[in-house]
Amino acid sequence: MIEMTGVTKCFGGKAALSGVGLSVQGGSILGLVGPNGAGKSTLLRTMAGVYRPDSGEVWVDRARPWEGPGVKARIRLLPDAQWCARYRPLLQMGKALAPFYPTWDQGYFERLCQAFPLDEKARYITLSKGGRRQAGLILALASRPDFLLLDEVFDGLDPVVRKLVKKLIAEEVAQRGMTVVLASHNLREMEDFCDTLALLYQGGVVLEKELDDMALYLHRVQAVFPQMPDIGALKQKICMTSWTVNGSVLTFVARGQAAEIEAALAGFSPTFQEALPLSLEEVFISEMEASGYDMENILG
Amino acid sequence: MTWKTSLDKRTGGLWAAFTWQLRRGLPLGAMYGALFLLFGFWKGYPWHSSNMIFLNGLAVVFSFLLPGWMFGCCFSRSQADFVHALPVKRGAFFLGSLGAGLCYLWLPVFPCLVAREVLHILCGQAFYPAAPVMLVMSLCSLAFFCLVAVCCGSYGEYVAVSVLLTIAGPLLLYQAGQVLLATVPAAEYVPLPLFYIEQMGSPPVSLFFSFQLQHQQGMTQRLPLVWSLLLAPLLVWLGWRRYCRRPSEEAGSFFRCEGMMLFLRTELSLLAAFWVGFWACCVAWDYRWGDAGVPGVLGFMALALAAAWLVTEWIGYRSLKKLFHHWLALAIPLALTVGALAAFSTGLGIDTASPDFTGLAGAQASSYRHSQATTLYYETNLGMPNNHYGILAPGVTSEEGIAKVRTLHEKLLEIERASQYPYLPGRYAYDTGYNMSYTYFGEKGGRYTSFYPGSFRITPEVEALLKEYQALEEELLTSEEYVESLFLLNALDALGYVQKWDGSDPELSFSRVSVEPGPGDLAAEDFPKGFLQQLEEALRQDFSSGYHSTYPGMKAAGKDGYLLCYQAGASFLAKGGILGTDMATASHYQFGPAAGMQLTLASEHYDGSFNTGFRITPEMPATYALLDRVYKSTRT
Repeated sequence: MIEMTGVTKCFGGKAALSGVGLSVQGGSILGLVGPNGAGKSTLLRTMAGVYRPDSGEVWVDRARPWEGPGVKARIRLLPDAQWCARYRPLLQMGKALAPFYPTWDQGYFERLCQAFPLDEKARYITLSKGGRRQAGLILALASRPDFLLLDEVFDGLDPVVRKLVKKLIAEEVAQRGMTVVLASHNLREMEDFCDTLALLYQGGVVLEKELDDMALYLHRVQAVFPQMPDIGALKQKICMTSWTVNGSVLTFVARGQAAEIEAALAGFSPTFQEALPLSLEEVFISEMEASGYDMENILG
Repeated sequence: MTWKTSLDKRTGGLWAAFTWQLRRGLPLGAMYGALFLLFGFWKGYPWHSSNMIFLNGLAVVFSFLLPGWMFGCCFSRSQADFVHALPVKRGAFFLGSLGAGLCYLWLPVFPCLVAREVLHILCGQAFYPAAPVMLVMSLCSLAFFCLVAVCCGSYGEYVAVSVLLTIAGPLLLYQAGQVLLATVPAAEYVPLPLFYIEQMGSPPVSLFFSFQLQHQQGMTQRLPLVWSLLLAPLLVWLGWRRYCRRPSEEAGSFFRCEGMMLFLRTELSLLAAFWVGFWACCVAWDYRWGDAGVPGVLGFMALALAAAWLVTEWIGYRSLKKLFHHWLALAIPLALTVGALAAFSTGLGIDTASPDFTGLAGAQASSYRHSQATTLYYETNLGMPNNHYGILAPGVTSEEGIAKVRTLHEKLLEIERASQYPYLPGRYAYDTGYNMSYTYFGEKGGRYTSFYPGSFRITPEVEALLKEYQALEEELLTSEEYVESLFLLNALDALGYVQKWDGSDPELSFSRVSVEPGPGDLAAEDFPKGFLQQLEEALRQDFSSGYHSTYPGMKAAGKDGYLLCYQAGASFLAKGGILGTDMATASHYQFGPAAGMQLTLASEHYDGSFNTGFRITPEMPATYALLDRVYKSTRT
C-alpha cells in the first residue's frame, strides 16, 4: 500500500506538489491524470524515493522510500525519459541490474525477451523509441517489483505491444498482488485498465475515485423549464459544477447519483429532464473546469 | 544469502554500486591502464625523472574524467531518475563509485612503478617511493574531482568549476606569496618552500608536480604527501556528505550548490585581490608612488575583491538582485585577505632574520655604493672541464668584523621598521634607492643572503637612523680586513695589464667588464719597477678612505679613466676574503678565510677565456693619479 499525506515538493520556489494526500491500495492500479505540469511525474518520483518531499510523508508498505534501499528494492520506476547505458544490449543491462534486486527473475527476464518483438542483443542506442520503452518495461518487470510506477508507459508502443504490456501487468497484479501507479494523458488507455483514477491539478489531487464510481459520479443533465428557475436556488439543491442556459433549456454538469439529481430537479417542475453519465474524458474536462482550468481559452 | 547480498544489505547496496560502476567504467579504465603501462615502460626509468610527468599527467586527466563518467546522475535528469531509484543508499553509491574509480587509477600503478622500483633497489640506486606517492595523490585528486562532480549540476559546470578550482588554488597561493615577498623585508631570501606550498592549493596540481618530490629531501618532500594524506579523507567525507544530501532535481541545473559557490567565489575573489595587489606593488615600486604606495595598493586590492564579488554574482546567478543576500561571498574573502595581510604585517619572523649559524666563517655587507665589491672565481682543478671553480667573496672573517656586519644588518632592520611598520604592501614605493644585502657564510657550508631594496619613507627618525647606519657602514667598509678582501687588491698578483678606457658603452663599465688586451695596453712585463707595490698602496689608500668608482662617477668621467685588467689563469696570493671550496653546486660550498692561500683566477668562467677588468675613475684619486702618471710616462 502506498500512502501520501500532505506531500509538498517545490522547485525554485514553485510548488510542483502542494499538500498531496493519496492512498493506493495494494494490488490495485491507480491512474494519475492531469494537465501538463500538474505534478504527475514529480509524484511518481517522490513515491519512488528519487525526490525527497519538502514536507509531508510518503509511506510504501510502512517504509519511507527516500534512502530506504529495502523498500526501493520492491519498487520500480519507469520514467517518461528513461535512461539506460547507451552501448549495452538488453541482455547485459539485465546482468548489470540483477545484483540490485534480490527478487530479480532471470527466467522471467528471458521469457519477456522472447515475448516482446525486440532484439535483446541490439545496443540500447540503436533501438527505436518504442523499442527503448519495451526494454525498460522488460527490465522493470523482470525484477518482480511489488510496486510498479509508470510514466506515460504506452507512449510510442504499437497497439499489439500495448495489449501485451497490459496483459503482463494485469497478470502480475492478479497473481502477485503488484501495485501499479500509471501516469498518462491518454484517458482511453486508463478507462479499461485502472481501478482507481486520481486527477492532479496544480500540484494537488482534485479528485480520487474508483473508476466504477467515477462513471456514476458526474452527470450531464438537460432540463426544460416553462419559466427558468433561479440558478442560485438550484445550486443549493444540486451540486452543479457548470451550467449553460439557452432559452428555456438548462444544461448542467452535476456531482452525485442520477436518481438523487433527478429527484432534486423535480422540485423545480421541469417539463423535461434527462441525466446521462459522463465519459472519462468529459469527467476530466469538467473537473478541470471546476478547478479553474480555462478550457475555452485554451481551445480557442 | 550470498556474501554479496549480505554485504549489500548491511552497507545499503555498496557492493552492487561498486560492481556496477566498475562495469560501467571499464572502457575508460582500460584506456587509462593501457596508456599508463605504455608510458610506464617507455624510455628506461621514467618514474625517476621528469619523464614521470607523463604518468602524473595521465593520472590527473583520468582522475578528472572518471568522476564525470561515474556521477553522470548529477548532470542528467534521466540518469538521476535511474540511479536514485535504485535500491542503494546515496552514501553507498558515492563510496562504491569512488572505490571503482580508485581501482582504475591504482591498478596500473602496481605492475609499473612497484616492479620498477624493486629493480631500482636491486640495482643499488636511490629509492624514491613513487608508487605510494602516486597512490596517495591520485586518491586525493580523484576525491577532489568527485566532490566537484557532486556539487555540480551539468557537464559544462563540472568542466568549468574543475578547471577554475584546479588553477585558482595554486595561483592564489603563488600571488599571496608574491605579495608576501613584496611586503616583508628580506622574505625573498628566506628559504620558504613556496613552490610546494603553491601546489598544495589543488590536489590535481599536487599530483602533477609530485615527480619533483624525488629531488627533495626532508620536510619539503614530506609536506605535500602529508597534506594529501590529510586532505584525501576530508575530501571524501565532504563528497559523501554532499551526495547524501544532494537533491536529485539539481541534475541539469547550474550553480545550485551554495557551499561550492561560496568556496569558488571566495577563492576567485582572493585570487583577484592578491593578483591585483602584487601588480599594484610592482607599479608602486616602478613609478615611485611614495606616500600613496600603501593606500594605493590596499585600495586596488579592495576594488579587485569587490569586482570579483560582483562578477561572480552575475555569472553564478545571472542577476544582481540578491547581491546583498550573498554578503558572505564578500565577507569571507575580505576577512581572509585582512587576516593574511595582518599576518604578513608582523613580518612572520622572517624579517628579523640574520641566521642562527652556530659557526660563521664570514659575513658580507654589500652596498650599492661599492660597485667593485664583487666575488672572484678561482680554479680548483686545472685542466679539468668547466665549472670546477671556487669562489672568493669579499667580506670579513674575524669575529669583530662579523659582529659589525650583524650590527649593520640590525640597524637596517631598525630603519625598515621605523620607516613603515606593521609591514603593508606598497611600502616599497619611495625613491631612496639604498639597495643593500647581507650575506652570512657558514663554516660547515650554507650561505644566507637577505636583500633590502632600501626604499624608505624618510621621517626624522629614519633620517637619524640612516646617518648612524652610514657611519657604521663606513667603518666596516673602510676597515683593513674588508679592504684587503676586495677583488682589485686581493688578486693584485694576477694583474695582467692596464688599459686606457676608450669610452665605449659606459653601461658595461659599472662593475667589472670582460676585456681583451689591445696594442696600446701597459702589459705586466712593461710595468715599471715597484709599480705593483705602489698600486697596492694606492688602492689601499683609496678604499680605506671609502673611495670607489661609482656609476655616476663613470658617467661623469666619460673617456677619462683606466681599466685594471686581471689575467684569467694567473695565480695570486690571497690577502683576505671568504673562500668557498668543494663546489659541485653552490649549496655544497664550505667556507673559510682565504688569507695566505695561493690561488689561480678562473680561466673559463665568463663565457670563455675573457679577462676581468675594473674601471678606475678620478673618484679614486690615489689610484687614478698613479695609473695616469705611469701610463703617460710609458707612452712618451
